Amino acid sequence: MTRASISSPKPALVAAAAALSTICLALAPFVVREGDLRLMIEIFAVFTFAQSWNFLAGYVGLMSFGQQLFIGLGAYFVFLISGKAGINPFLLLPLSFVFCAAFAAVCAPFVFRLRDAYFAISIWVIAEVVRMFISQKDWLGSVSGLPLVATRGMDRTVVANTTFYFVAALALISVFGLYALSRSRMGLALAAVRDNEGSAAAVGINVWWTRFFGFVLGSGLAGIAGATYYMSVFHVEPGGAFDPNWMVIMLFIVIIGGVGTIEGPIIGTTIYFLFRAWFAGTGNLYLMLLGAAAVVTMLVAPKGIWGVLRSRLGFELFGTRRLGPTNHRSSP
Amino acid sequence: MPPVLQADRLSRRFGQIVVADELSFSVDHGQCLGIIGPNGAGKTSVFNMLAGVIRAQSGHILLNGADVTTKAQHERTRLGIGRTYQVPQPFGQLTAFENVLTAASFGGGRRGQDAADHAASILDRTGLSKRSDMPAGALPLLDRKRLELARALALSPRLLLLDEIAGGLTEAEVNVLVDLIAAIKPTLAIVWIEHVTHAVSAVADNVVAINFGKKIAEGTPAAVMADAAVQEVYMGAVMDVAAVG
Repeated sequence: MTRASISSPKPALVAAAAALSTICLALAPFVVREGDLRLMIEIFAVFTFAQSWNFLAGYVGLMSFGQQLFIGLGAYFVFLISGKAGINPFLLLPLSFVFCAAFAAVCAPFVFRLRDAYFAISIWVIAEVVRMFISQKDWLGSVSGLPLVATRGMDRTVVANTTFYFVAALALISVFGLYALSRSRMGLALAAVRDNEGSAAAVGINVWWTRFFGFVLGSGLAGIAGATYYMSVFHVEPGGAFDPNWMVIMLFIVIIGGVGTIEGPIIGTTIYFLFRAWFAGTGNLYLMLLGAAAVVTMLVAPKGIWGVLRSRLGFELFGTRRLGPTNHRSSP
Repeated sequence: MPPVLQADRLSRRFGQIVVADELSFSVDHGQCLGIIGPNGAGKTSVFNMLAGVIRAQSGHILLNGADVTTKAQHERTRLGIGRTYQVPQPFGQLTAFENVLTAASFGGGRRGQDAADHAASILDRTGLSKRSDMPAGALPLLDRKRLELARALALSPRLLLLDEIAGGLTEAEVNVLVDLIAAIKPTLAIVWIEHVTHAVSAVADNVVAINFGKKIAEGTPAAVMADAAVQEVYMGAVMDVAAVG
């Protein structure tokens, strides 16, 4: 009997990385200055946005141009409910995941009838519809938006630190959770559906429900990250929350870093924030530089920076390949 | 014991084009049925009806006596129908091993180490062990054809549907596949659609010839190839009569 291994060689290394990064992030609020903590909140939120889109595009095979829909929905959910019902917004954060996942679940039967570019644009259309709806309703704050009133009585440091812990947890989940998911049975089904839906059905996978699971999960993740991000800025308005620019940033990060990899968006997010720091004073030129960098990457390295590094170095930290019978012993 | 597969008066048309017209046939365990016919005769459409990609507009498909006519493709897979594609359809970014593991894990209903061991033994049998960690999209044609067969076998199917698996291969490569299929034949039922008629004749117990969705001949491979109506529709196509019999 041939024995095969379904584990790649480095799960122990990944577990160590998970433990180490968790400890570092848990200690961060005690050693980092408040301004830097705020920047870290933004970085981790944007990283989670990018990871949620990377998950949909690179792991589920759903290319959406409307991921800002869930960023805005998550934020509005928490701002509105905490303001009207006086509930602690931190308790509402997990529910923002549920709310956005449920919204995606309701949309799925309609948008799944559309394919490729039509699907991509359909979510964007829904985002615009929701943005315009909110802009016209006074009880939703119309164009000027909603302030976060529920945290006004709380201690500033406690609010900042709790927000940080939430967003740090999201960033960790979007790295190590994605790693665990893609090595799981569900991960195998998602990869099969992404690569070839006809063959996926032919090997006994329920294509519709597998895709549904991915869509709902990716949307919920963007939603809770959006809610957490807007809690750190204390105010949400429709023009910003449903801004297609969020989508541009996600695309930039994932394409530059490498779609369908866990490492890629980490690199992409780093580059994005470095770019932003260096070219912040250049106004619109900075957006053009972002676009140009993305175009050059697509032409020179379609698999992104991590795609190139991986094949050059023959190394990956988050190896999600299941190795077959011949090579699993000889792997490092 | 009912036959593994019984197709009962299957019909399907796309507008004016009839791809299946009251087609009936059956296959028993350990048997191989060949379906031959010229291009556009409706072979692949019949296949897609059996696999569940398209629905029959009338008629019934019975698998081990149970009606699966309206079941979705993935449900039929779980009930024991495995198929290969004429043009290989691998999960391109997954390795050969992962491709086969997918079939073992879902349609095959195996878990964890059991699924991995099963996938590994199927790779051994189909001669793919050395390629097991290569991305399937990078495999050469023969190996992709083998992978189609390996993935279908990993389902542990009761009925195996082979769609022109010999097409596009060299003579020597065809022989390798024919030997492999002959070796697995006693363990299941096979329906094999093929343009390369001598390949299917080497393994099939019975052959059905179709044209414009209609059955025009049925019987042993030699009898069907010698049939006047079959000779007629194959005019212009190369008919390898010498290899039959």
